Amino acid sequence: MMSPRKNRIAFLIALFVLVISFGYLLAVQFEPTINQAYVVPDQNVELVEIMKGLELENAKSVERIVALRSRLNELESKAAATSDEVRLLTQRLQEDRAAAGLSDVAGEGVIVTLGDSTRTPTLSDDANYYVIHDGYLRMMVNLMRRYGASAIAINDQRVLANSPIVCAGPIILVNSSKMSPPYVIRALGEPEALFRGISQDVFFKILTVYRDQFGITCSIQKDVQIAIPASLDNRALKYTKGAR
Amino acid sequence: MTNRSLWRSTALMFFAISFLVGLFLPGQARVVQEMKQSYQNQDPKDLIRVIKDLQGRKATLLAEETDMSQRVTQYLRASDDTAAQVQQLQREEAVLQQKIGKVPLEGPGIRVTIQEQSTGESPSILADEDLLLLLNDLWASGAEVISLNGIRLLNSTAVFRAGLNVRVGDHVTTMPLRVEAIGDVENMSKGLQMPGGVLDLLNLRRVSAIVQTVSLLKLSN
Repeated sequence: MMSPRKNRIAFLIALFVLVISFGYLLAVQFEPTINQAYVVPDQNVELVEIMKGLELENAKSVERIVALRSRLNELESKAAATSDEVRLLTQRLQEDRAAAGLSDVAGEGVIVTLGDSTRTPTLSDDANYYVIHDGYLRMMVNLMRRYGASAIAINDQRVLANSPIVCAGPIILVNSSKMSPPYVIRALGEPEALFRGISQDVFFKILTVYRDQFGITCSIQKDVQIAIPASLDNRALKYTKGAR
Repeated sequence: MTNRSLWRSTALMFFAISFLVGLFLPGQARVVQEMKQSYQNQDPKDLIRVIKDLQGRKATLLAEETDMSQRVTQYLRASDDTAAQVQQLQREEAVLQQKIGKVPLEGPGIRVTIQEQSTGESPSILADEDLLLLLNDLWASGAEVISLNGIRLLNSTAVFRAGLNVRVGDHVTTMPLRVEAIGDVENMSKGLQMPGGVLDLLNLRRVSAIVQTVSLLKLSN
């Protein structure tokens, strides 16, 4: 049996070891936080400010365009009532605008939702499986077209043939607009054909495996009424001319 | 202090410390994760890329705003002038017909000829996602119109492999694939040849991609 003095020493040593271990664990845990917070460069703060400012300006511009388009539609409708030629031309133009993705559309379709995992990957995990990549969105849009989608939007952005879907690090941009997850991809078309085609495609099945394994969001809803906004990108063709 | 009470105190202390560490760890992991996701902690190069895209978007939106504003003004001016209204509508119709593939087009561009290696022990295959990436990079770097083996890509055109063939909308075409894009030639070439870009990726997959600039590409409707 140990003497009381030895007991006290053993207790103090055990306490010392525990306190040191606790201190070490805390230091290791907080180190990245403190260091990262410390090294956030001023330039990043400024860049984020510029980014937010541009987003705000663009949002205001979008509001003005929507108002102007609405005003133009009113004027065209009035003019169409005064002349048959104008009425026929306006009618054709509405069809062409719809084909060019320059009109709002609504109807039946499907909604696919993709989102990053809420789980934190451990050091041994491949973090790529826990996030939605730009390539997934491109594949999904292509899949929707394949199964008959006549109009597609990702969050608030209409996706046309020439809509680039790119990433800058972890940020995904659609039509040069910053997207935030979850990515809600709406497709207008025959709901049953879209639902069956997409949910049975290998690509979608792979995403469901990632969902079950890594916790990403991947779901599809059918029989929903959806509204898809018009594209705001109606740039004039600069290099392309009608062939002679 | 007896042996027993000392060890009981140690166990209690150990329990308390373990409890605190356990309490802190998930919170800490969440903080680190949130920090990684916050914009201020991103690579400045990525932030600059986003800003450039947003500036491009701003220019596009301003152009559309100006155009719409002018059209509204013209309509108001020509409210009693049917001929002027017809002229304005016809002008817009001509532009839209080019965009929706109703008329043949021409212009400077680039041609990318993609060829798989069908011989040897392990033949290479052009995957859907690589083809989509190539098309995406062309659009992102200034392509105005694109066709695949002469088939125009429109808003509803899906592009995917169908066995050894390539399906482009309702058409089936075969390899090699000729991707032709009219647009900003310099920018498109740069966009494709960026280190680590799509051409490097295709090279890695042993899919050959030859890029040529063409002074006048003609694309049918």
